[in-house]
Amino acid sequence: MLARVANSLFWTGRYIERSEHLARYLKVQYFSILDAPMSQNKDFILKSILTMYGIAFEADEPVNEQAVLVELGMDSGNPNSILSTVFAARENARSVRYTISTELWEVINQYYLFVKEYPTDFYKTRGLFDFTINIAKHCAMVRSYLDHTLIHDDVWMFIKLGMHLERAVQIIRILTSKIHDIEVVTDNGLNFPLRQYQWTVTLKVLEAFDMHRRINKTSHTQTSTFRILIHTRIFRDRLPLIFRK
Amino acid sequence: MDEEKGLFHEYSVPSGLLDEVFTAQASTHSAYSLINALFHSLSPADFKKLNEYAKLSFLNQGITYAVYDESSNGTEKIFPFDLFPRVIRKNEWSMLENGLIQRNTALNLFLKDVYSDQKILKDKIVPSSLVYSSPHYLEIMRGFSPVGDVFCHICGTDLIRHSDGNFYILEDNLRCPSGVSYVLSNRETMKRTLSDIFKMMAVETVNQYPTMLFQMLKSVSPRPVEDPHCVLLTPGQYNSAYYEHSFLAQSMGIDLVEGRDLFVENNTVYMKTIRGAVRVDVIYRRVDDDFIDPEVFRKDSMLGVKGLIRAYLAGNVTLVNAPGTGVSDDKAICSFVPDMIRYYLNEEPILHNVPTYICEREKDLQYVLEHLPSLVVKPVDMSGGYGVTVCDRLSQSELQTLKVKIKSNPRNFIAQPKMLLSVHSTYIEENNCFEPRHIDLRSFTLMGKDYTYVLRGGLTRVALKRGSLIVNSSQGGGSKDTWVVAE
Repeated sequence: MLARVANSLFWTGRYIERSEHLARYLKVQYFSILDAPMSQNKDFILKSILTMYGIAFEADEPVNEQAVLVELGMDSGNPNSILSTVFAARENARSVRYTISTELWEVINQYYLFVKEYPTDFYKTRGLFDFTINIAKHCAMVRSYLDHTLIHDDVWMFIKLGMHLERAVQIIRILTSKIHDIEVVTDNGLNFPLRQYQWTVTLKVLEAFDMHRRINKTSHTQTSTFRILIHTRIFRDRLPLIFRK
Repeated sequence: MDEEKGLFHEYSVPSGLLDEVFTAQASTHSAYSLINALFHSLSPADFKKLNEYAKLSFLNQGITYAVYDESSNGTEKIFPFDLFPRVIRKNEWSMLENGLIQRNTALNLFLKDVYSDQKILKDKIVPSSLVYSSPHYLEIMRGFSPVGDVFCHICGTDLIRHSDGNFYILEDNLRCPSGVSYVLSNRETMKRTLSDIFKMMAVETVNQYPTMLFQMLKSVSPRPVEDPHCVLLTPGQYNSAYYEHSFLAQSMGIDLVEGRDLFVENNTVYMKTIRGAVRVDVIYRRVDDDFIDPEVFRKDSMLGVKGLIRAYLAGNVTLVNAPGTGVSDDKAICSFVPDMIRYYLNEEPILHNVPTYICEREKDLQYVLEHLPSLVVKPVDMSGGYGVTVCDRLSQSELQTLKVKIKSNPRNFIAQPKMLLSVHSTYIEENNCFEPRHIDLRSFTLMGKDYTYVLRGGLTRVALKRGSLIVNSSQGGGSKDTWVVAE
């Protein structure tokens, strides 16, 4: 395989994975502020999302909610937006489409077309849930075609390598950002209900909430969260090696 | 209102023109009555749905090109595709096929001759001044024999059907002819959209083209190995034909390389892989001569490979097509192909050229200047429909300007009588109905070592603007699926 091709396959994997984490983080964080206990500061959470995306903002100025949503999701001028990330995934895939299956290429291309054509006005008012949940579905399709229509050889491995590395990076980003948020919004953990609420949010961001509830019922603490993420088989397999030690 | 009138409500066969669907003549195929019956049974709304479905199919497959200008900002477009297929009778096709093989065989013999003994120039069949003044003539190719003596492996010959019902050669494309991927994807889209028509008749398949192309590439490997390493060289993913490059590489299962993926050592070409350097035997290059090797051609080229021509002339790699083939698709030289056929093959040409006036000849120039309003003037070395002037549309002052331009550099121009390309029913989106539009045909011929193949079908290109004779996609043209069908 050409060295350049290996590089593009790796980045296809990284960008697909990244876009899914960005969308999920946006969805869970945004919906968590709508009915958070004790009027959690909306401005604070929007800035927290911007930080996780790596998008700069004025720390002392209040942010405009709709403008932030567009910047995070639809701004083609911002390399960290969801649209730019999906575009980068698709352009990398396009440069190596002759190595992957037509089925995989078409689902990646359709994923890009979905994001690009999504109506901005609907997105920034009532479409956020629909937008982000469909991103998750598109990613699920990409993963499925990746695993089921490719020979599991070098091509497949470089895409998977990119995905796993990106997953490690994103999970660490999410956890550090949430730990920091929790410290600040709960007065160093003294506000117990809000702290518990924030651990719920963290579990949802990592798609671990339902399984956590099955094991721990309704009690969410930092310890129970970390325990399920690190020790439970399904999540342990999804986590990078360094987390398992 | 349109609903009641149907898809053909405004259709009228233009007088003096040949309509391939509606003008009754020997070559009109009975298949058209089946297709007509189907389209007449559809309401404009139904047909619009099919048309949208076809467009979506292209979009989802990523068969698009990006437009980079201020307003569109990288918008991706699909090449317009028309759902009314063009039908060619199988016996007529056999004649075309023989004619194309004859013509391209002669062109290969001409190139071999021009780059070796130059007998045809010495015998004054083709004026040597035309050859030496062609910007595509390459002195470095003198004395070199490519594998199997094949220079143009992939030939894109453009044909038109005139109002007399016969096919004529419009031009030869012997550098990097494109469009074949659209033949295949048009067929795929046709099958997805109008599967029921296919059940009614036996359409010649086009699907084997990539296999044939790969066979041809392998046949010209300089190393006599069982499994030579063939690659396709692309300028990159921002090239307007990138879809085609990627499609062909995938269909043949070969690597799609860029200049930066290759390097030359000891006059041998290698590609950089994750497991080290791998030798390359055959390069199907979709990069023009000018850009292919900064050591020999343009020094500023980022698309080529340094030393590639050295490796080529050392006989260690085959380039498809060979460098310097452009000399024989020069439009002035094109008019000599019938003479080449007589000279090399001792046969009469099966396919006729559109009559051509070569402005470099004193006699022709005089004729051209006197009869300009009835002619079409073309620069000799441009493709894609660029620079073509249809003179009956010019004002007096424009005619004068053109005359001055021709007189200042006669070698650069040829003129042809205005050929009335046939028309074909074509769906016009704005009016939601069918209208006649001018069409031509790009055919594809492969020539390898002891290997010849003509794709049965080809790309029917259609000028979507009313009355326009320019079918090229860069000038607002679309395309149709082309069916070769037995009667």
